Amino acid sequence: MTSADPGATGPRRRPVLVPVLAVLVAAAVGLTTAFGGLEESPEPEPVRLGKGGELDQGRMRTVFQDAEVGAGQEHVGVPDKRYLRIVLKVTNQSDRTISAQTMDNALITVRTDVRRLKPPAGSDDLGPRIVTLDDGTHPYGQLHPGVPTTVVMAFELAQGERAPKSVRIEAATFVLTESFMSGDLNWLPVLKREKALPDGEPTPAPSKATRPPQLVAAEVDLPVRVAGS
Amino acid sequence: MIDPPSGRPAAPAPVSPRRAPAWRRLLHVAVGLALIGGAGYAHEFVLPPDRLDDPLTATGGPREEIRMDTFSARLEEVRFARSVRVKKEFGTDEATTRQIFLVAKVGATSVRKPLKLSAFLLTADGLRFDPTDRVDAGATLAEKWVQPGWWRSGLYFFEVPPDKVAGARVVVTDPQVLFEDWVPEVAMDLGLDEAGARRMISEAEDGYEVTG
Repeated sequence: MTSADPGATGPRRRPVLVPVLAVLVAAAVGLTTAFGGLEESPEPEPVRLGKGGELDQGRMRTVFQDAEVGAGQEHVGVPDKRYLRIVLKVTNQSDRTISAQTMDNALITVRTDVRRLKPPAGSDDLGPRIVTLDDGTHPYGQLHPGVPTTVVMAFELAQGERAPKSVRIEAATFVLTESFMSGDLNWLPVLKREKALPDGEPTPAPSKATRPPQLVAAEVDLPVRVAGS
Repeated sequence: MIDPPSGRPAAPAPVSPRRAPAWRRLLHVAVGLALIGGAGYAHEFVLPPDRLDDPLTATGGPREEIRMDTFSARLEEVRFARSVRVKKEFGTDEATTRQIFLVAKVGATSVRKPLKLSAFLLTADGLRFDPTDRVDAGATLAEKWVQPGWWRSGLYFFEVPPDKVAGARVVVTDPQVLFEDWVPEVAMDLGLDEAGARRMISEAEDGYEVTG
């Protein structure tokens, strides 16, 4: 290409591009500054809920109804062991039948004033039994779309373990996400953002005990009843 | 264009180069716009990504034989029940529900090889109900072999809210081709409108009996 020849004829262009760019850049910087800069906004604090509290978890809507300690009943557990039962009313908000076991992912951690129940401390703990219990006698496993269903999550307590007085549940949310590869829509848990570690601090090795990095949407505190009282 | 090595530019360019007449430029613009518009319109025919691997569905009404490549099926009867009793060798399981049990009697035959067909209920608003686990799968067609050469009938039990029944379809599919493209499925319309569904549900029976 030839450079513009001062001798060439033709209208002389005013250098308009540079000033316009300068104004745009200044406006962008100004607006970014006005809205708090490029610092990430802090993640939302978990909602605090109590007995009877209701949480929209995206894939399902959950009412935290009750927590009780008692011997196993015919439908959940065996009679000579004690269980902590968390009673939920779950409405499946997705468009298809899901398993009651999905609530295992929906409630991230369960802690009592005695110890942590979920995720389990040892590998011999098989985790909670999660069943639907609509008529109170038969345990089943399905959550049909749009049907509010009673779900019981039962944790086995150790022999001679003190009965807990209260339980704290951390609940997650799901969001309908389009798969990058196939374009399919799936419910995926909302995850925590990676926190940047200060310089020089070693990255903690991932271990089984570390919590899955799901974002805690709500902390639910339930008092624990002794069954039959 | 590179200046000749003599250092002097070539003869100055003409002040106004020859340009196409206005009507031709307008024509070019029109053709360009038509091409862009056509390309945009052609995208109407492209399946959205979430539908690209949809099953191949043959649809039909009740009691109509619907053929697919690997099997044929027909919806023979629809009944409603408030409770279902499964008679077994050593006792009877009774299943109850706060919704309603939809009992679909489906006949099927295979084209080449024996199949076990699974089913789901698709409501008018697009909700997908799996067969209920309150009725043992052993009592349903899902656990029975459908073979080439003859028709066999069996039941599927669904547990649905009564207001979701109108306009629903029973969809039967061959789960063995789950990881292949183009899963064949047969969708059978219940043939029930709001009034028909209400009437049949009001006549629902207690203790529908089936052997498991």
